[in-house]
Amino acid sequence: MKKERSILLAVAITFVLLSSNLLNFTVSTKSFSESYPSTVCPPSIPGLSTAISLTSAEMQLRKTGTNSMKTKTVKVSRYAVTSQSAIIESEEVTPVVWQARKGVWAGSVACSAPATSQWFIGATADITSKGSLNLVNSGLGRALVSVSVFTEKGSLTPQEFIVKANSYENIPLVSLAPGAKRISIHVVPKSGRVNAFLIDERGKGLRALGGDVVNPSSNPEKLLEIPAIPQLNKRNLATSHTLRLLVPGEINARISAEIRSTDGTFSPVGINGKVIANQKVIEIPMNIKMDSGIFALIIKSDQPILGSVFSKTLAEGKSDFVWSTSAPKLSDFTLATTGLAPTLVFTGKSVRATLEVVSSKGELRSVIIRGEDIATYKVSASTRSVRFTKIARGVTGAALISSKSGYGYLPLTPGSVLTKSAIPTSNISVLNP
Amino acid sequence: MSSQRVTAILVVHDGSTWLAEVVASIASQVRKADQVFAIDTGSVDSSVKLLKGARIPVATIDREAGFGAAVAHAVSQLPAAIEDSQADGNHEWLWILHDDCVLHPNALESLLQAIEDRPNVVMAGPKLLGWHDRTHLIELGVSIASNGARWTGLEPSEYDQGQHDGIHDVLSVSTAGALIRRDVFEELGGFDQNLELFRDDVDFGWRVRVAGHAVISVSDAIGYHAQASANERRSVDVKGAFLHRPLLLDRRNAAYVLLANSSLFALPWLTLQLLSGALVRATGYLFAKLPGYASDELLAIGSLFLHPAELLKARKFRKMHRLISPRVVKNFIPSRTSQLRASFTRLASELRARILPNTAAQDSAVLSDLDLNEDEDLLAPISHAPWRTIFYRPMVVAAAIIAVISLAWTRHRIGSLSGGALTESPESFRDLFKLYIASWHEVGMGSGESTPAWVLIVGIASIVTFGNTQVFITLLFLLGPFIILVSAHRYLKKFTENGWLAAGASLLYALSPVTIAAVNAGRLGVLILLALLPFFIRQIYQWIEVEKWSWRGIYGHSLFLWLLAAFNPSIFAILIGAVLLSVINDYQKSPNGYQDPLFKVRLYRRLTLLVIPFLLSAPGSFGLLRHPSRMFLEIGLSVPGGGPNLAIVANPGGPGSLPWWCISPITAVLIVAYFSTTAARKFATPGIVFLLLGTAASVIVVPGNGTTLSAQVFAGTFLSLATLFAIASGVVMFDKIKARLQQSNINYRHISVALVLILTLAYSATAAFWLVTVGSNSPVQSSQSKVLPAYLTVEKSAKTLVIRSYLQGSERALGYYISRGSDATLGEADVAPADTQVISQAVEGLIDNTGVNSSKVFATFGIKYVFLKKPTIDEIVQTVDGLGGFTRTSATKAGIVWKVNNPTGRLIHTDYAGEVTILEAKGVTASVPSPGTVTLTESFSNGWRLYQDGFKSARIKDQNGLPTFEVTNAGEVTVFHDGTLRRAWISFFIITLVTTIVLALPAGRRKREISEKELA
Repeated sequence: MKKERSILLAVAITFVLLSSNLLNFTVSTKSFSESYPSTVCPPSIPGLSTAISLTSAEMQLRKTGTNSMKTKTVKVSRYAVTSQSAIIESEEVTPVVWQARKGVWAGSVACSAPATSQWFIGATADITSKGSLNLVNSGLGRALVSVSVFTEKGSLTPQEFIVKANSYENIPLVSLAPGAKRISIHVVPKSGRVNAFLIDERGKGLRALGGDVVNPSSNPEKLLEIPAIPQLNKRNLATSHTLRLLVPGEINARISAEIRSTDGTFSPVGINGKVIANQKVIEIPMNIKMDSGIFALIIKSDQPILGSVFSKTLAEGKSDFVWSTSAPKLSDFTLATTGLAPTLVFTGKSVRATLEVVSSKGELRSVIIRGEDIATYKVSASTRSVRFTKIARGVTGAALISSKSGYGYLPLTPGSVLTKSAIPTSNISVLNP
Repeated sequence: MSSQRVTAILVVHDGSTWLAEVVASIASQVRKADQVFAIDTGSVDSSVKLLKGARIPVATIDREAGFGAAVAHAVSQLPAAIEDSQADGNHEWLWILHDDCVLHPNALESLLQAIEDRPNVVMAGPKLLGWHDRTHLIELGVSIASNGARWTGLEPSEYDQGQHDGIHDVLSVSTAGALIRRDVFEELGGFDQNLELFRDDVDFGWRVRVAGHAVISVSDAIGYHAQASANERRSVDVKGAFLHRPLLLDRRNAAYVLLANSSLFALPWLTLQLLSGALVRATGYLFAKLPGYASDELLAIGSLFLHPAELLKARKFRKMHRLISPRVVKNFIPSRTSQLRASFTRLASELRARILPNTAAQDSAVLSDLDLNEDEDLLAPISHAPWRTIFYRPMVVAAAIIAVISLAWTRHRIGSLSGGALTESPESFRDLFKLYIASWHEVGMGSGESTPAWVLIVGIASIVTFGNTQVFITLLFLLGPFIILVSAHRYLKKFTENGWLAAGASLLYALSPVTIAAVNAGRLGVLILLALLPFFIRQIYQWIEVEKWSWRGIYGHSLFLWLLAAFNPSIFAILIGAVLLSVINDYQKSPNGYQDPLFKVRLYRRLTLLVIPFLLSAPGSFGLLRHPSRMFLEIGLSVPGGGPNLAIVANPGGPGSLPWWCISPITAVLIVAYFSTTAARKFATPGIVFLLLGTAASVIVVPGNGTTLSAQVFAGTFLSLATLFAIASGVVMFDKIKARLQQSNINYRHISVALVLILTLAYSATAAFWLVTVGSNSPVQSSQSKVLPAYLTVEKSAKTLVIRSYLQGSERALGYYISRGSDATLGEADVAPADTQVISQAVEGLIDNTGVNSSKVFATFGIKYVFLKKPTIDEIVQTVDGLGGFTRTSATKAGIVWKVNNPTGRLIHTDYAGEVTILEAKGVTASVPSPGTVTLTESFSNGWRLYQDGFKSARIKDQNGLPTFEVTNAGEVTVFHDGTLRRAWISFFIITLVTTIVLALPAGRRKREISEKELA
């Protein structure tokens, strides 16, 4: 009897437990919406020519300055913007904008999804400045944007700007921090779909001193990686670069630096152990003596820090300057390169990445990048896009682009990432504390 | 020796039962009456023969003659009074005697002695004791309360030990043994013959008093009164006794006495009191299943008011004989305070008798005085137990352990509670009543769902905290473990004499995983179940032989099951399963199939146990038939359980429950007890069944209240039953186990007992540690900040779409709901609609950036604001900012608010040209500017009505599912939700509930059914 009971109990428990576990599937309590936010390109301000490199003529685009959210097909793979700002449904592709004042300067920037915080380490607001900060509101609601400017003397009181729905606001840099030689800007949209673009254009009287589009940096970090700084000199002379740093926190930072180049890895003179005052824009001149080429700069700090390198350039006989900004770790994405022929620069302890290069004819070619410390790849002019895949850990990258008008820099970072957001479900629990 | 002349008048009516003793008592009086005269009112028994045998002159009058008429007839037969003797202070006295009242031999002498020095006294009465219990004090003077009750100023069945002895001024005395001066009797017109029986004594005393005389009660004179007519020991045959019902006559006469004698100013108030008193008593009699008495109460008042001329005549007569102010009787009418005090004393006494029955007295009757040893008390040593020994009592120790743990465990629960499955409580119980009664609930897009009965029960229970629901809920959750401890102990102590074992087991129940989960996650239903289960489970063993339950018991249990099911719908699942299995089992065992009488008896009883709770829970219970999975839902908000692997160790899981490493000994106890003694197995078997059912149920996934989200079932109900059965089996198993184990060699029993003990100790330690550390940070907490910021609660009528992200497990999920200017409150979740498809799509558009028309949709549904609660998700903020149609109005630490740009409101008017106007509503009315349509931004329901100029407007359901009305003229319209159906359900509920309560209550007994001994 007792034995029967034992068997009965064991069978019952085993059966219930097994069948329950078999039936017990984790209930997905939510569904997700996955999409690439549309990317916003910088506005074409008067006097500038703006061309957007795309990967397909079928991409959908709309422009600011209208009340409509309707998009239209681009029909070309390199789209010239005559006015306003373009908003592109580019999905996983990051369109690249090439802006130039013909024969004077050029610069590049990626079209990107609206961001909640953008840092710009570069530009000046002194007497030579002709640059501007462009705030683009791609939404249909009014946007309120807070702009904080840091100068060599410290931080200024944040200013707030209202940007009308689906429009952009051009703010001259001299009006943000009059007279400041070294500025850094932090843009925080308080409401609205806002993108900021910074143009650093300089001139002395009628003489143009060059210009560039300063790429935005992500939030301050203790490790700063600037993957590509161009070293363009006629002879084997020291070339002047200027490292601009900002410690936005409340504590001074102690930094150390490392240069990675094809010649090897070394520390630049006078940087290691330097203390950077907080909330002041600090510039450190770097006289690098080496052959023409490209090098990367790695800065380590005990406090979160931002930085970029100002370099004089000489491309196709034209003097210009370029701001090499920090880049985040390289991730999978597709860069539109139509008509740009950039030089891709990768840096890291061990560089390893696969590039899927698509020509304008649609031919796909895989290129494996391998190297140590730094590696470069020159993309041909007939290339429509480059997709970065199979990237080793710790690799960052940037693109250097030269043209008759000038020289441009572009950190390799996706303009729009796949956003996975939970679709809200009706649930009265949200009304319970 | 008194020189007063006394004529004894004995009124007889079918009194042969008592008459012999009465006649003997008259004959044995120390001071004999000067003459004795008997009046027989047509007795049909041997009364007359008996009187004649005793040589008492008898006059017989009509059987329907009243008491007053009989006495009047007797007086008319007496020789005229001698005027001269009155001048000497010697009067002729009438000694009124009843045929059911025996007088002590000294009675007449004592009465005469008392009046000797009191010339103003014209009426004196004896102390009346019970006929059978001659220590039972019936009356020592009598009065009337303002509600018509006969007022003696005595407690029910008061024991006479001389506590009221003496001569007292009273309003009146009973006519049984009353000595009345003949001249005054004649002067006042004798007893009012409208009062043929009952209350004639009070009426006469009242009239005596206002004529300037005195009435006394004399305790030295003793009578033993059977009160045969009042106690329905003989028929009431008097002419005026409608339907021959004593109670009816008594109540009618009581009202007559009050209305005929009271001052004119007091009449309205008295009338009201008499009416309300009659209604209350009638209700009480109905509850006691005495409909005859209930009708007596109402008919008595009705019959009196139907004959106002009688009353007017009586008042005129009394006015003629009134010599002094009617205020003179005020001192003898009991005050309202005295009446209330007496009622409370009676109630308390009855409660005390029920709760603490005097079993000692019942069990051991003293057979002889010789058995009593009065010196015993003196010889017995006086116990001087130190006060601190109270702390050695097992239950005190158990309660102290819970108290110490609770100090840390409940440290975040001092104040109004919310969180988990528990929504915020409204401040007043009136809000719960409103929610229960309302036919339309302004929750989300509105709901016409019937509010479940538990809301009403909580509202009523909140009366104990003076209507403050928040305090009630807080106290319930704070004291929950204590209440569960006590209720479990009441049940478990029956299985063992070892107090420590019972207390320890009760403590385990009070801190079991299911209790902890219920308290921490705000599962009100399971908490109530845990507290009530021990009371119910005591009876469950007769479930098989259900015919042993009386029908009254069946109705009582049905009510209890309804109460449990009201808080735990899964009780229905258990009940249906149990009834089905039992009926099949009964049928299989039945020798004659369904025709077998025993099968039928069991079937009817089982079906009653199922149907009554089902009817009482209607119409919600009918919804369970359409969606049986909702039986597994809990009341309140939906909070998932922990799945089968936790349930198998009796832990229901879910937020606030014990972690997996706190393994309770419940399952181990059940398994060990299953192989233990037969007695323990009796509990272990159902325990294992419920444990396995709970495990299986925890896999089920059902959508919760007010949400489209599906969540795993919280198997609290099943596991509560499993836990209690396990603990009961453990107590039975461990009772006297030490002796049993000592008598045997070490075997598997020793090992299994040791294992269970180790597991229990480990659980106690880990659970206590968890409770005082992590456990206090449970979902249910006090002083949680409101979801909606204050500025969104100002516009009460505005709908706000609240979007909020919350952690679900390790993932962040998004939820939304429409608020009507406040957070969710208790009971609202149970009536909340799940969602509206169109709104859901519009909200999705806010997230995936496709909601170009979202603001339009929101405006269509009357949603004025969108509130994104912090912590916000930046992408959503950007999307809403960028979509258009919304204007950001604020961004605070509470969250971000956007106003929907399109104008919207509760009533949207569209004229025939298509122009849209938002109507300003004042209460239920609004003014329509022109003909067109009026759209109400509430979910469609057949109850919605729009009236204009007294006419109902045509109603349609528009493409968005909103009620839209055709308005043909400009002008004022009235919009409301017709609650007729809801009122019908409430009426049905009340009728079913009252009927079941009446059937469950013990039946009252008619006086004729009460034994003589009980009546004294």
